[in-house]
Amino acid sequence: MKRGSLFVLAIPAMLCICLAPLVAEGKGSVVEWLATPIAAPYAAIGPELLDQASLARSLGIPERLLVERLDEGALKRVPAHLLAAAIQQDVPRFASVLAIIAPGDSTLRDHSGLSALLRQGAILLRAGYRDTELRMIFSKATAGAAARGRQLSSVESAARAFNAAAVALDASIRFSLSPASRQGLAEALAISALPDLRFDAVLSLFIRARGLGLQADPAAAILMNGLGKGASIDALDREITRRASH
Amino acid sequence: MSAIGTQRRRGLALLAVLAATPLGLAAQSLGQASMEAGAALLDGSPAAASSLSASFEKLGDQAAARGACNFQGRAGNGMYGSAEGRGEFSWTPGTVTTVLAIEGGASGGSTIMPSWRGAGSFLLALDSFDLSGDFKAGLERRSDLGTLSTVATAGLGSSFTQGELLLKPRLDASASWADSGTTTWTFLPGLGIAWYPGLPVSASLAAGWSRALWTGGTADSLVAEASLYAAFGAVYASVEASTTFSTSGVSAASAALGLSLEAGRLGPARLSIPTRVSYLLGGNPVLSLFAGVAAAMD
Repeated sequence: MKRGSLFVLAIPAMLCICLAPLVAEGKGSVVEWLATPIAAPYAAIGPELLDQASLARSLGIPERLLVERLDEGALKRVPAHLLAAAIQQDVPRFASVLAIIAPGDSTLRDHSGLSALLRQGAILLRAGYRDTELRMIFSKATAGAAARGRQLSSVESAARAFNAAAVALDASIRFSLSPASRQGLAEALAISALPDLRFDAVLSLFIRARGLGLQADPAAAILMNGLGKGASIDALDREITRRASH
Repeated sequence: MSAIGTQRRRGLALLAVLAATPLGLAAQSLGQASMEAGAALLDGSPAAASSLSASFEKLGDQAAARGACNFQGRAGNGMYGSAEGRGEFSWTPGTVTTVLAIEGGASGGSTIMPSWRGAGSFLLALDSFDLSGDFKAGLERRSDLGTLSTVATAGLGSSFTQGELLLKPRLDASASWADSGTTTWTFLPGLGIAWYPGLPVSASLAAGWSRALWTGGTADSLVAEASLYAAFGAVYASVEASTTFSTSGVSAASAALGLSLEAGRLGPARLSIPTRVSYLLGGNPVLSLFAGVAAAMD
């Protein structure tokens, strides 16, 4: 993921980076977290948090993801009942993302990149994507690679799909895209021939389109049409430039 | 017709359809219309300016129609208006894009002689993921301040990416036959660079050396244009500049700085408040300021 999409994921990502050393020091479980000073104001919701931790473990969700969220909430001094509600909503989100990446595949639960993907997927769900939408973007990433003769693992497909979703979300916030354009753009990026690291170029293409007189949703439609056909940045640049209204 | 021939034709037709079909993304139509109106200051004289543009396009088997018109009324100096339209049809089977277009326009004012133009053009582009190439050709008939001429253009270009840069070398040539008998040939090799950094910023720079040839003379000039577009929250900024250096010095130049503030929605329309400062050098220098309101629908 490059600079542009940091707009969407920067704050949660920074928190995760800041909190990672704390987690690495041993607060890998909710039980351990509840024993730390930062958890003192949340003692009343301890049993509820332990229930959610137990549910997460049974679903194959790394418990440290809950601990990261607890740390984030505690640092923000979120009231206990809101933190409990947030964790209660997070577990099904992590489960939904896990079901997209590894439905019934327990071997992936030890994959080193899985936690990062679950974290990223859950952030996308919190940001407004539905799990059916993420699942569709995931399937487009798999199909796009297959059409070019490459088989992606489910982790690779998920990484590509979530990057596409993050960039489309970033574009939709910046340029007020309709929900349909956001989803279409994410699917088009996922299925496109662009490498993940160049997904963010669509932000620049949007700006150029705007400068040349195109509105956001028509520009998104042009980009989606081109990306869906496997267009490169060169071809997308030409498609936008030849539609310049001045 | 033999059965084998029919089968082969059906097979080829199927391959053509498959090649032209996006990977699971449906074709769609899109349209947009925008209008802008505001007050301007043209070299110190107050003026009113407005513009209207509309386009409709069907993606997939692409067909598009676009039109735009501008109007300017300047206190004590009459009115000026222009209108232009373009229709095009394009199709992209696989990695080849073909575009056929016709376009025309007219302009004039109470103190300016009318001008008009009509043109047809053809574009053939071949894309691979790392390298694209295109060939353009066009024929135009125009009347510019009372001078009638026919202009034929042709150009070859390619583009390829280097990191965040898109490099676009090209060679354009044109021949202009004025009805008065003068023929002018122009050759313009040049290089364009576009920057797509992955941020809401885009910049481009294009420069070329132009040589015009006519009976008994030549003229060389350096032609350059640059643009920078960026967004900062709800503010869109644009800087556009172009210049022509001839052997006798700068013969034409223009620069424009625009800021547009997104002002929310009114029903289906997106509203914005555009402001522009522009400077035009060529004959009499003109400094103009503009501020107005724009509405766009898509």
